[in-house]
Amino acid sequence: MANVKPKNKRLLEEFQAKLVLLKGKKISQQEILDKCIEFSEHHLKEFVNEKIDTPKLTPERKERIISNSIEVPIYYTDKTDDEIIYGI
Amino acid sequence: MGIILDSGFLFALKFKQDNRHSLSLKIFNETEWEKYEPIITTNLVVEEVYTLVNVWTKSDLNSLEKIEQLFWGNENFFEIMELNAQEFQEIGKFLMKYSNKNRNLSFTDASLIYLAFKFEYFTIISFDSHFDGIITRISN
Repeated sequence: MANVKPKNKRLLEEFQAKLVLLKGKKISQQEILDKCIEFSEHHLKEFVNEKIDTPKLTPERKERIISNSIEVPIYYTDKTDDEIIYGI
Repeated sequence: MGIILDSGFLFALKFKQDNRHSLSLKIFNETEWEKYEPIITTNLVVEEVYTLVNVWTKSDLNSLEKIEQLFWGNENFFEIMELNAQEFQEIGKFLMKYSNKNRNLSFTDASLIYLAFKFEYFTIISFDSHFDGIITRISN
């Protein structure tokens, strides 16, 4: 498995410091990350809505896709997709 | 719920001269996309669409530039799942399980079946009958 490195190490350190103030004990960064994942997993819907961007098919995008159709000659129209790609 | 997009549909959607263009447009316009979200495909499908564009247009640069918009530009409406080496191993198992003398799946086909089972997205938009009997196919 690839190593996972947090992009914002400083934010993690600040978060760790805040937890020390709140709870009076130091929690390791690994444990914080593990607990954050666990928490997010339990609040998956809110996490996805807040933090994960997914492409949406808006009416504008739909119109753009249709109006930007490509009109050029297509060769080898007697062949299927698999024949073109794999020769099968 | 989730829905998977195959290469032929994406190609035909963009290319007016493809004999499946009207059919792709009909599917595109009539599908209740919000009902199916997320909409996904894989990096292997991207590779296939680029190959189709390159071969079918005899390397028309303008077409190759325009197809970029569908994958990474302002026309993109689906997630592209990057498959890793570990997943390739799993896909190989699906290829073995679902291929037979009458059904020669490509590795890309097998990757889409793998995704269907992994995420329980059992609907695909495809013109390829290889998926019939395995997952639900929207083709008209």
